[in-house]
Amino acid sequence: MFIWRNFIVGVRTLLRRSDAERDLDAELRHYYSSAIDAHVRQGLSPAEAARRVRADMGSMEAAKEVVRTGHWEALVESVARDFGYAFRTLGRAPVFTVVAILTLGLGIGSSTAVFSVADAVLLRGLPYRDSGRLMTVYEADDNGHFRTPSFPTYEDWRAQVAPDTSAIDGLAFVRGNGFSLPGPDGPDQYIAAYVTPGFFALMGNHAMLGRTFLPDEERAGASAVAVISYDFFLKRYGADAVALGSVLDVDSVPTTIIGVMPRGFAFPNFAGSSWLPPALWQPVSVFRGRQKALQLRGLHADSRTIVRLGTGADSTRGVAALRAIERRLAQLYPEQAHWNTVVLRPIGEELFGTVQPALVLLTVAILFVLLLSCANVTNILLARGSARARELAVRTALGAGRWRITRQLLTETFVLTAAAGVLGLLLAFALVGAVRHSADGRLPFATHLTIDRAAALFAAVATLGTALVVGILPALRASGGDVVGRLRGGATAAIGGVGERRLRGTLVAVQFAFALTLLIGAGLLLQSFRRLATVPLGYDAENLISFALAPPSPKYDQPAQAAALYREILEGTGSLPTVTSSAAAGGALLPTNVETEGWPADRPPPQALYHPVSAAYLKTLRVPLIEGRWFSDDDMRSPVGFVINERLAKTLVSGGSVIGRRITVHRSSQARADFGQPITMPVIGIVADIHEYDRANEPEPEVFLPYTLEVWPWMNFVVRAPNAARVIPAVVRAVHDTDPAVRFRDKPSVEERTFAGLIAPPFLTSIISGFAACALLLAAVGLYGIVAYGVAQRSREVGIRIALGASERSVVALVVREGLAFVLLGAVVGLAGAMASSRLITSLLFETRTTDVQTLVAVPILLVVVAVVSSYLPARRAAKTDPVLAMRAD
Amino acid sequence: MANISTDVIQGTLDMLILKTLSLEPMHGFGVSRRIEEHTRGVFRVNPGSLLLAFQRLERDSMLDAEWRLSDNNRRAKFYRLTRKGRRQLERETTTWALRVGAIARLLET
Repeated sequence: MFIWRNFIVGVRTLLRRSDAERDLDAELRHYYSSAIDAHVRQGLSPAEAARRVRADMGSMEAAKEVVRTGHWEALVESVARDFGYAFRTLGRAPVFTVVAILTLGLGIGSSTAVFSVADAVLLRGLPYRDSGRLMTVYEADDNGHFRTPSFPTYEDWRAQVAPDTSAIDGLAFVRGNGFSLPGPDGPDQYIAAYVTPGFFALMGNHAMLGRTFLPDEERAGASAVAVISYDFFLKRYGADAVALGSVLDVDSVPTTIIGVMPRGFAFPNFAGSSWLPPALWQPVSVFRGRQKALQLRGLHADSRTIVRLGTGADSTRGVAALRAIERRLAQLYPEQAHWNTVVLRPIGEELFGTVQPALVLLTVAILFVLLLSCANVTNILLARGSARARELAVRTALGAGRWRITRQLLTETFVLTAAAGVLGLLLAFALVGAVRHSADGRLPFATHLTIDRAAALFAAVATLGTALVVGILPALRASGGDVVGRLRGGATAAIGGVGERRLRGTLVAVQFAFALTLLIGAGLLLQSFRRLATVPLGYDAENLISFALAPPSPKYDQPAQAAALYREILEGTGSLPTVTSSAAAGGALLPTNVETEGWPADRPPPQALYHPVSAAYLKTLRVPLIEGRWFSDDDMRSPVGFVINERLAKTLVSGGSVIGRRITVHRSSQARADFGQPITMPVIGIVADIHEYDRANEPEPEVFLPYTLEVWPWMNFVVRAPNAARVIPAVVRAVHDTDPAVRFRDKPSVEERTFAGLIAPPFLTSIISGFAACALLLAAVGLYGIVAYGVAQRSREVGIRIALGASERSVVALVVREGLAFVLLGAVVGLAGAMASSRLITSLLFETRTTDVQTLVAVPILLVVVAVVSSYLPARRAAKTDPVLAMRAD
Repeated sequence: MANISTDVIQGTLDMLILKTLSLEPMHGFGVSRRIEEHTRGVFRVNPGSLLLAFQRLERDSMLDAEWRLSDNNRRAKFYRLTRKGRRQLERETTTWALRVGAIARLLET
């Protein structure tokens, strides 16, 4: 009640100040005249009475001021006045205002954007309960090869790990499998994840709607049920709860939807892989009988085994528990005995891969840029403070307190940074939108990137922090000091002096230190990228169109049907005008065992990527043939042998020729009924190694076979044509003409896929380079400012030097030398900073060491050149000073 | 002879005002003169502090104000004690008496 009334009256006073003033005036007038009357009644003359009253009570204005400033609204008014003054002052210097707002806005905006990405990936953690204890399990052999455990191995682990519950809380197995659903224009492809009982409990997630599986639903032979993802729920059902209980034809099997997982839950969900987040989860037991991939111990499918470590147990104990079981299994299944080691990887490390170091690097880089822009604006404000020294001195002389002036200046800075904060937030929205768009599919959980409350809070804190960092120093300097000296001095004397020049020089040195550190980072990434780009690919990557097709089910379920479709598409695209050749290549991303006679029994068999290809593959990619022969069209009809690459050939035999040697591989398509059956044929040819998907790593051993021998359920195609990009529409038409129901798994493009590996991706390299360029520009502007300022300050001295006969060159040299002193100081510090932070970047570099000589020489040279240029410009102006004018000034 | 400075004995000024107005509604100068007369010039009130105190008490609902013609036929703002103001005065009188008694005892020993 009391506060309320106080508030109302205060607000009324604020809004209708003139009414309140009139009241106050009338009341005081009555008060004073009554006092005068009282004196007159005691016999004083009216004039004498008025004099007495004034002497006793002070002036009416003073009394008014006491009343005015006594209430809370007075503070509001004074702050409002500060703001009004700040707006007017800033409005009078539009260039300064715009430059400062843009500089700070860019800094705040980009750091907020980077923060929200880093927050999603590094800080907020994964959407699973206590995700630090979740580990992915791999089996490893003595050669350091990894594989994911097969389903039978998982089942043995699960059965035997039970007694030892302290190290491991639980295990789960997940297998991904593609399926299609009828869509508005043809079937759409999705990923289903088959999960073992207790999977959701292990991850620590509950259904958002409905429920997860009941024990009855996870028994073999139970009718099909599914839990769907939030994204699928949104896309397919428009987030309508009617989805629960509805029936979905998953690969033509009627499946009842029993639950919806919360937004953000996704597993498996891997960065930079071809795995999409699953649309739905189903009990693995239902598929166990039908899928060969779930039955074979030696064949590892597209799957993951996850363990949750017990409370207080570290991964060493988890590994020990599993390895003990693995050794028992080795005795039972001797053919798997060489997979004798178990490796656990934290689930976050697997999901985010090299995104993490890249993000740490980005975060550090962006903070540098933000600090640089702060330093620059501080520098400008210091300069402005000097220019306004006389104005402020006048105000001080008229009675403004030091705190009053500091508050005034801070208000100005606050207005600047608040505007910059708003600009920055808008920018951050745009940037995060762009990242979400470009990172979708490469960064797990990218669809959930937004400027949320945490990011907005970050922006606010960054803005306030910036205001303080930027404002305090100039405000304290400008408000303090010797008023009389400033009032007396002229324009030149009003400027700070040696102390201030040193302060601003230090700021410039700091800027150059940051800029140098960033430049070295960018230089290393560019160097690494250059080396990566010059790795010989082993084939001609120019003018190739690549695409991938997924033939719809069930029309092409039979291998013969799919083979006929592939042949037609090869013919259709191959006969397009200007197309020189067209080829198909299928195959698993995971390697398969290659067995051969005479291989020592105690050594694990070599592994190779398995590629069913068409006859034109070699010609289309322009891969050199090393020995023997490549497949002919006849081989496609009646296969008689394998072609292998050089790397596999070298692994198989140490000397002599491998041509004619019989090798055995196992059918690798998990979707086919004959999955895992051996094929034995002689080697008929050897081709050169190529980097098909990844430049950074050594080419893998490969084995090729005719695509008709094992018809891969989906297929990659490559088409060669001069001016390839222009042929893309014709290729799309040719595919649709063959069968309109066929969907693209990957749309036709001429983009090289060899940079797909996340090591120093071009994206990261260009961002860091952009940051470094910004930093250099900011530092250069800062240096220009300090040198120009120094010149202005010393124009009289320069004038005298010139009058005494100093040459133009010697004046320029004098000024530049002084600027360079700060730059060199900064460069030394920056070099040390780069050394100290080199750990951040090492994992992102390809064949480039952080002590790369070219970078470490080139970057400082660039820095010095920029520094010389940006201090030369004001120096030349100084040299042109008219000595007479300079000395006569003031 | 002391000018009441609001920030030193704020509560005292408020109490003096409430006490003065408890007799009858009065305008600012009337209150000031009454305080001066009754304290025989010990307390002299500065008009700014007095009006500020009025406004504050008015915002606290201790006083009501209205414009009326005064004895000399001029418009003046008259203040009147509200019920809340009266209660506050009683409370303050009690605590004041307690305090004064305590201090007096302390000084006598």
